[in-house]
Amino acid sequence: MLDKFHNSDSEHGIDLVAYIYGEMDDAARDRFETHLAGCDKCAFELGSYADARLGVIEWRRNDFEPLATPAMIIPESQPVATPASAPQRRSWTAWIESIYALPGLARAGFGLAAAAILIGVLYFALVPKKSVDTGVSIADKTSAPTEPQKLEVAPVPEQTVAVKKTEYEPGLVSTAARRSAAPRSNVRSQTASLHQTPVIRNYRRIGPLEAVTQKAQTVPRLNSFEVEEDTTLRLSDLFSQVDRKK
Amino acid sequence: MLSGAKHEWMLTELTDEQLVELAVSQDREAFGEIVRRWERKIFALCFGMLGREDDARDAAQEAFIAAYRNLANFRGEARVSSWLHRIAVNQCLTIKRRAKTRSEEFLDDDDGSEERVFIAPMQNSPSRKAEQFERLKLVRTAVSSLPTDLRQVIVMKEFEEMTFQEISDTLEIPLSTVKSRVYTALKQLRMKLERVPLEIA
Repeated sequence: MLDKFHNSDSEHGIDLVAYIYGEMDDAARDRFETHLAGCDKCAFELGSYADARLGVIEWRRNDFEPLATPAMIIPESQPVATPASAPQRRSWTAWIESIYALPGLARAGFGLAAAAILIGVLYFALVPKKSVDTGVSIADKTSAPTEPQKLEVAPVPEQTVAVKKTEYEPGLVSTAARRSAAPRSNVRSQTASLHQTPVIRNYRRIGPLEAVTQKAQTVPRLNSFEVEEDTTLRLSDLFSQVDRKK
Repeated sequence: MLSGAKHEWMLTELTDEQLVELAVSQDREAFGEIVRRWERKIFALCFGMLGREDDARDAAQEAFIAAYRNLANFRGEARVSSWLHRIAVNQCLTIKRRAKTRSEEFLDDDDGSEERVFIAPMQNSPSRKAEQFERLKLVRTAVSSLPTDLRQVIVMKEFEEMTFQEISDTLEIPLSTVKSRVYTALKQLRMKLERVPLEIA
């Protein structure tokens, strides 16, 4: 019995604790008390452990027991559980809470997807559509092409011919332009006469460099009354001047 | 003849055995010093054995009364503290046996107030209150510094007054683990609290 109380610290500690808290069966308690009556060491140990327990009790008495028990108020608006047969519509806050309750990775993925959708919507809504004119006439534009305007990339060797803008003046339309625009001349002339907008003639394939350098200001716009002075020297103009001098 | 304060100061400088010798020669103040030194420990021992503060207080008081009556029988074979502990243990066992047989003899056994003068003569002195305050602060710090698993079982035991089996079922850990954790927690508290001795409140 002495060995049990002195040699095994874990067993002795368990017995000591069980005795201090009064949770020892009668037989074990009698054995322990009989030993205690003759062992000063165990009596000291019991006293010091009981003292530690007393410290906790005093702490409880001083810090906790004077506290008033808080009243637990259950709000009236607390939702009552509804039967399963009556599905409830979830509010948007409940959806947000359910998303927030997702695991970290799922929440991150959801956030990224939402951010990507938002960025895409904002991009298409706010960024103005830019179209680079590559020699296509307004008539073509007004025909509402289903395809977006594409920059012409010449599969053949590039021809660095500048796309000319001319002010529409009856009689000064070059023959080449007239020929090229023959099938559409009615439409184009009507359009030009109505809006007095510069007409891009001489549709040619231009290289990608030219396409890139042509800014929006070279693109004819509908209802645009800005007329830019055309300073390009043309053979037809030379001929006309020569004719006049004659 | 020394003044009271000087006499008390001198008593604090003496060992337990010297105090017993003085007490045997009818120096009540000497025995009062012994009581002041050991009343907390004896009270804690009685509390550990009886489990109730009121019973423990009565048992400790009876233990010191018994020790005063048997001062002449102290031969010096053991230390005074060991002697007092043994008296306290026997007193508690006696109380437990009496409680088992449902005897009222102990409750009526009140000889008078003469022996009670040795029990905490300056119970509400400012120095005692200061010591109690310091000890309480130490307990708070000691408990909050316990690891979570140890603090948990101590709180469940002392605040919620759960049994070891109930704690075991709640935390889903073995019963021996619960007791082991409580033992370890008390061990750590004991090491920290033994630095600040305190008389019974």
